[in-house]
Amino acid sequence: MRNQHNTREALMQKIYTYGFAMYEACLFLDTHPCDIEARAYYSSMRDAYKEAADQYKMEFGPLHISDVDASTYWTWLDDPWPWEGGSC
Amino acid sequence: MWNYEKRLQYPINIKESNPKIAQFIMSQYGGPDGEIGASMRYLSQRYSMPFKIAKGLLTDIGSEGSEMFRSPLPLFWYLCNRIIPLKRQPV
Repeated sequence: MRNQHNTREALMQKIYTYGFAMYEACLFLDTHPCDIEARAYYSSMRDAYKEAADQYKMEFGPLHISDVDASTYWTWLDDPWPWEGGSC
Repeated sequence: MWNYEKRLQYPINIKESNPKIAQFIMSQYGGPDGEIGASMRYLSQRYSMPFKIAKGLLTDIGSEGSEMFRSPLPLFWYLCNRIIPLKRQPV
């Protein structure tokens, strides 16, 4: 099912944005593990990140080797790598 | 363990090549003040760290550091684009 509003670039932008926010919240929580507000922020960013990443791997291919569907062929090598201009 | 995600830590958008900046980027990569050294320091220090919160932080920033020492490389290659011809291998 292709969502018209999410092009590959738009989806990757979401992954970058939510991934960054999730990671920064993680660093804050490492030294402030009891902060309720920060934990709620982390959870919402994590959920948004997961949603975007799940949609990306469903529509455009694997982000992680565990996403590869190897039933027909090895799709991991399909897209250009990040340093070749792919996925960014 | 290293868990690779097929994207960069931060998106790169470079319009033109610039060998001078490429040279500077490379100086941030290795050497005494480079990211490799910083990352390895954090990851080694965590073994003798007695505090729980700092053990987690050293692990996480050490991992981020290892991500950051990979970031200069794609940046470097983008900046060198058209100076060093990048050959695409046929699949």
